[in-house]
Amino acid sequence: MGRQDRRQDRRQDRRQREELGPRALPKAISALSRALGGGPSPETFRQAKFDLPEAVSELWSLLFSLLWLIHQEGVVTPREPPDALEGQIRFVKWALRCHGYGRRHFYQFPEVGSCELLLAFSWLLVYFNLPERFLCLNCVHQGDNVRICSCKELARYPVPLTLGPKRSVDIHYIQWLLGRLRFQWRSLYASQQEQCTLLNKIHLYTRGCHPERSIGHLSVPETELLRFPESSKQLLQQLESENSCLEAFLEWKHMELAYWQWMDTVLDASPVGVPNTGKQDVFLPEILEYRSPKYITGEMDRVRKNLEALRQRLQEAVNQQRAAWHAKVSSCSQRLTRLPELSSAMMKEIQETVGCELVALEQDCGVKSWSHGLQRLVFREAEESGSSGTYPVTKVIQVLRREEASLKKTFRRLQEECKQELAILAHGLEGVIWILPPYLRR
Amino acid sequence: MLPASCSHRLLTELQGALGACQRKEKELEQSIARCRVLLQPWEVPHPPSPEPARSPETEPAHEPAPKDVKELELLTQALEKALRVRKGISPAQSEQSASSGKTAPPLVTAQTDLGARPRTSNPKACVPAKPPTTSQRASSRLKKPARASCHREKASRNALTHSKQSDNSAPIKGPDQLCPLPSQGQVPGLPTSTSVSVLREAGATGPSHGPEEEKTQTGLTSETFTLKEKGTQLQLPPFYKKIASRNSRLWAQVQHSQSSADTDVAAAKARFLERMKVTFDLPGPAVSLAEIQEEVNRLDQACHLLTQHLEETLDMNGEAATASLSWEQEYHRLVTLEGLQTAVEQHLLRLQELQEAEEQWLGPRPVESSPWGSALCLGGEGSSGSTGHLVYSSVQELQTVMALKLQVAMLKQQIHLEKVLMEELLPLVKSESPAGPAQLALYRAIHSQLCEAGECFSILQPPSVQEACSQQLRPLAVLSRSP
Repeated sequence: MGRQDRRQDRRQDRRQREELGPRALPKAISALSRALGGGPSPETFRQAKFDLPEAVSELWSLLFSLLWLIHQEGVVTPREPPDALEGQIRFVKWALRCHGYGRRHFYQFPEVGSCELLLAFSWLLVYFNLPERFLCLNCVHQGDNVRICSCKELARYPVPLTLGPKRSVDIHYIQWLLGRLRFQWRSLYASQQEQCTLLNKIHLYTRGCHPERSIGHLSVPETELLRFPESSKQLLQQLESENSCLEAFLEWKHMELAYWQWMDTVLDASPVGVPNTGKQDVFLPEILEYRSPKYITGEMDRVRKNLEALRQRLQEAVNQQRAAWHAKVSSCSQRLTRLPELSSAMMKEIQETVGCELVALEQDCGVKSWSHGLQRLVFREAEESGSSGTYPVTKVIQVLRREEASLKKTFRRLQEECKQELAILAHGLEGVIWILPPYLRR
Repeated sequence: MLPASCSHRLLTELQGALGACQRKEKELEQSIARCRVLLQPWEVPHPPSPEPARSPETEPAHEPAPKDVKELELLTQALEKALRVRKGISPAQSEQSASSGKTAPPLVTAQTDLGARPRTSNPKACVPAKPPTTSQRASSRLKKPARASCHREKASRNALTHSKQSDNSAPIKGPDQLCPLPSQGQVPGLPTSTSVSVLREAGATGPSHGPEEEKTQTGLTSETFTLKEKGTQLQLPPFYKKIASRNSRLWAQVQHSQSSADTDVAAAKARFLERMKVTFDLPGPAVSLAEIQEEVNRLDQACHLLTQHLEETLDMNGEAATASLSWEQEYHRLVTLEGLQTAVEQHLLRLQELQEAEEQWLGPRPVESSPWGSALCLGGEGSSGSTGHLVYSSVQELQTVMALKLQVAMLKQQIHLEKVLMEELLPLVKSESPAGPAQLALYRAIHSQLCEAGECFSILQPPSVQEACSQQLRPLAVLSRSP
């Protein structure tokens, strides 16, 4: 069944690509609109090309809905979207400014032409890879999904302080808060263990029920579907609308070229470099409106301090290692006339291997080998060789253990540093007896 | 008291960390609640049978088949006989063995009590045994969480039989008996489930006659749907299957189309982007704020990975003496360290560039913060819609991987807080040196927090007290560790 479908799709591919006639553009635009969950009609787009004012409000709301959705991803404290058109316009301008959109005419106040909006929309399509991203953001989760990477696990976010900013507190209050935090960690651990047990039970008990053999058991949302049939309607509706979006997206993919060719003509037609008429002011959105400067620069400071501390450590380590190396070389050369192990070819080889390792590290920083996305949890008892798209948990455990070990070492090192600093202080205190607690090797 | 700016920063950081933990806890609780709802017996839509005094928590009773009633009777009689043959003891003796605290005796009492049901001959023997057996069962429940549902069923059966014989004591004793359990927090999940079952038992009591009790019992055993027993018989509704299969097929097509990208389209898009860029006429640095944020995150991650690599390199030949390292290893180490050094220098340079660009965007840093405290995330990498499968083969594996993820996140939090504390508190310690009692208390607190993660405390004795207590020094040394 699957193979036949694929053949049919490929045939459709070829057919549709040849079809790029004059009728292709409205079809492409309508497919795009449907793929974005119901946007403006092709007529609106045509009006926008000719800078007609009727298209303005629709395009603004389209821009707003897309940008708001994109920025909700990963936001820690979800906020209410602004209702009024003015608030929405301000948000759109701010977001585009932050992403470096620099067409002066777009930021005109009070009115922006619809052609400008159309250009901004097309720029968004390319910059954010929009139709795909929209689908991914809105996709319905039918399985028990977990993230492999732990970077968003306990993501810090700035909380508005309840007390006035200038009040000072006692150290014991800080200690109490830290104690609460430790307690929280323990209860988090316990809750998570329990969640795993319960999930595993549900997976065990529903073995053999899933239509897909590769999955084999039901997930929590699917079991809830059976338990509460009344609430399944919502899920079904969502799935159906997602299906129609996906179909529209596949149509769009075939006819995309026509759209970009048309956009070229729009860009040609739009007036470039027309001087501002006096009554229109360019009103640049205040970057600081939505973002506390302390947060951005705080992050940067933190990263810089970490890098500088790392640099210092590396300096010491390199010096130490170089001294050891020279000592070894010199001691060896005193005893023997030739150095057997030190052929230049071997040195080159070692340099190359290290170079490759470090390059791999750099690549890891950009794109992690594990995807940042959500993975569906699948319970499979037998040890099977993993097909593509399946991550065995054992590999993840290995990587995480390495990370854990390294983090523990870092933490202990920080504690040692503190002990040394405070020991210096303790010697400075006159007449005070300081009895340290017995250090247990944990 | 700590200075104001120090307090402010520490409080912000700590509240942020606590908030993150609380959020995660809430997520976990919601997920646990959903799972529990599914694991409890499901409401099967049958017409409710006439039930006296049933609390609303219990599921509606079911119409039992007379065949099942007879079967249960035969079964219980057979069990009775088996027990009598095996042990050859009276019910009173079996209750004594139940107090030894193993799981088998409580089950035995359960069976014997079931057997004792049709006979009302010795109600007294059963009643005093109830408190120890319920507590045994409760403790065994704590010990074996995996069989919680199984025990719960037996417990409910037991409670019903006891309630039949001792009308008033059961509803009062039941909840009291199991009330201390929730305070034992080692298995946080179970106390709540036991309280649910207790409510069920309590609700199920009330004056009722034998045959009706039997009916409800058989109703419980034969008609209730539990995921555990009949989960494998579940079938997703066909209309859902159709839609879901179409959905997965469409996603596969989308993935396929993404992998086989059309070069014409890509070229057209790139050309459009270039042309747009040419028309950008607003002043500003080349790199946008969003890109700055992304790069800063990337550098943060790079720093983390480089640190990890450094730790591993230094530890690679950890306790072994340097002389025992081979030439290759030494050289390898040297080259690695130098390579790491260059990488860090590059990152720092890049960071400097980003900082300059950011200053251009934001202008000179204003003092007051904006009305919105939290930052709006400038959308990073879009997650791919295609979800792969994370395959696990045992519950221990799943628990390990989730625990490790949490542990890594907690360690990162801990390290960050330690750095913040060091930055804020160590200067306080260095600046002032008068050894007043308040200052000493501050030193003690700082020492315990920074060096012992707040778990152990040291003792500081100020000079003024020393002359008075010089003889008591030795006992103080013994008390040097306070939890």
